[in-house]
Amino acid sequence: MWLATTLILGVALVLIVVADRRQEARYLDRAAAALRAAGDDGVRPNTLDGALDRLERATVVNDEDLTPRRAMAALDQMSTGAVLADETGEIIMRNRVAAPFATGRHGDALVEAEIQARLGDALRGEVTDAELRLHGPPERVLFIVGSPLVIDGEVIGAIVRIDDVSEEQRLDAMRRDFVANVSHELRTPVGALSLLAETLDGEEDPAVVANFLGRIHGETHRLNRLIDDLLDLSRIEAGAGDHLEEVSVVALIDEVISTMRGPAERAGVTLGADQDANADVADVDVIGDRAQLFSALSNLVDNAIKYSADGDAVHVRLAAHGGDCAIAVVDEGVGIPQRDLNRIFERFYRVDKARSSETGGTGLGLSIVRHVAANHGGRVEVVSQEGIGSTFTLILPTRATSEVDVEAVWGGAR
Amino acid sequence: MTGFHEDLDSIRGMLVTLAAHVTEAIPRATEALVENNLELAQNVIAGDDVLDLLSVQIEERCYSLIALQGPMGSDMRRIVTAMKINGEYERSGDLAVNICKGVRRSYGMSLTPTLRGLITSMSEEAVRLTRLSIDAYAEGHVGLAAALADIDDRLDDLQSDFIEAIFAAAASKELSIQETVQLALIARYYERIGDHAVNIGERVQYMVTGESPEAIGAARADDGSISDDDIARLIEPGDEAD
Repeated sequence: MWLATTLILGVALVLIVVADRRQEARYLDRAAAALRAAGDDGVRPNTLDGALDRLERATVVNDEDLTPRRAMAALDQMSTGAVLADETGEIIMRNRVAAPFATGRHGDALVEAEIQARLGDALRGEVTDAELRLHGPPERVLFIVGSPLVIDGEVIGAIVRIDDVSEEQRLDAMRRDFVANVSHELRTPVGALSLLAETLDGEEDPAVVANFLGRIHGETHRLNRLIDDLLDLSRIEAGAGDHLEEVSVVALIDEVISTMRGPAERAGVTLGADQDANADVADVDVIGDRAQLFSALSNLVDNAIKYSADGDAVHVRLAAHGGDCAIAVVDEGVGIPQRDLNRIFERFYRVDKARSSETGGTGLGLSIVRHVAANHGGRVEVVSQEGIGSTFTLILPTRATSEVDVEAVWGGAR
Repeated sequence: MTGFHEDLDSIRGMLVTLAAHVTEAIPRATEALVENNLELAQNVIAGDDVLDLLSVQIEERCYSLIALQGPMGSDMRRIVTAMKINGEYERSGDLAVNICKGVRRSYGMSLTPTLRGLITSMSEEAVRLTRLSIDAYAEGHVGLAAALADIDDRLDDLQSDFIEAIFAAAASKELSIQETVQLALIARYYERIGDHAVNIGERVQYMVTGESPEAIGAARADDGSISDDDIARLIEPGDEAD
């Protein structure tokens, strides 16, 4: 009896131990998986205590290593430059945007000097900012802000943020000037009309009446042309053209030159075309809207004549190269100041506001040119020096390469 | 010795900042001139104080480095070069200020497009030379340093064109005598900025190779084979090298 009881207990004990071992093995497997997840090498631990120790270490290491690295990676994604310093002023981190300033030359060296100045202020507990205008090239405007990092009332470091606001400021100036210029262009003829009408009221001398009527006619003409140009521009901006055809560039140039010959002669300007002798340009074709292309090129030639002096020459040159053709309108006129060069394609932008009525343009010509070029998958470029003259080049894809672009640009309009 | 080289690097960094101030001051002065902008001219004149302060700091750093470390050989050449080109940039900064003072004196003058175009071109060349000079220094680029003298020829040509143009404008009464003189001086300031860049190029060659292009001329004078041209230059200094 006693023997039987001992035997049963022994078997039960063995069973319990075996079951316990299995349970422990399962726990250890799960611990190994947890360790792998925590970044440990994941080798299966021998004891549960050992597994717990390793898990603790792995978690701590994780917290120390990855969180700052994640923060750094996140800062690198930002378009704002960030420079972080500890309380002694030593820089402990720069993100991707701010890194080049540290070893930069020219304008970048001045940005770095400004960063250091802002860091100094921030470490004294002050939030300061500065707007840095760099003439360049490239012309840039940067906004730089330094702030202290404070925990429990104590400055533990500082951060400097660098924002490139050049584009924002450019757009802002464009918007502001547009409103001012458009109201100026519209108001001038309307104001003149109203004054002329007022003066005519009660005027009996037929010579004066005729003179004033002539001027009313002139102002109405000016207003009409402005509205025509505005409508043209909005049509061209919409991109839709109804008359897509093969346009011979040589014929287009001839047509523009014969139209502009009259105004050129009146201004005492020699107008001529010359073609690139090295290229076979006689049969260069562009697929597009003939009326739009005519309007773009005649605008360029018209400008060239307007800004030339008596005795100057205007040339239209054609060159073809690698699937593109370039129509250059070269003048020997007053030229365009460097700082205005990147703004002249804006609507109503005037380089010399005082001369706007003298030249008689609407201020929309170059906008039209730019949109026509874009509609045809091309672009317009300008090189100019004051006193030497300007060259405007209309670059368009020729028939061979333009088909794809034309499909994309004109869509269902065909 | 690492501390010493860190100090040298920091002096180089300060010089890069100094040169950047100069390359910013030149186009600002030009804008003030071309657009008759007195406020901008005043800003450039006031901004020169920052440049002067930086220049003084660079000089002091160089002195203390020589006094404390007793550098020799190429290390000594680097410090001496830094001190020399520090002075050249500081002068270039002063020339930008001179242009702005000219703007004040000739306020209200209206420039023809040709004159404006030439001034803009001279300014661009002066900026380009100053930029290339600091590039040559920071990279120890002997080839670039030696090329600066040739690149400067373009600025000299522009200056001659400009002088011709203002004399023509004076003859046709487009410019008064006072304005003509002011503009002639201003052209000279741009040309001098170019000369300072050429001098910096020569100092960089000395820093890297231990031999200065000026030393060749000095050796010629030393062995008695000095030419009449050289004597003429000694009597009337300032045309080529100083």
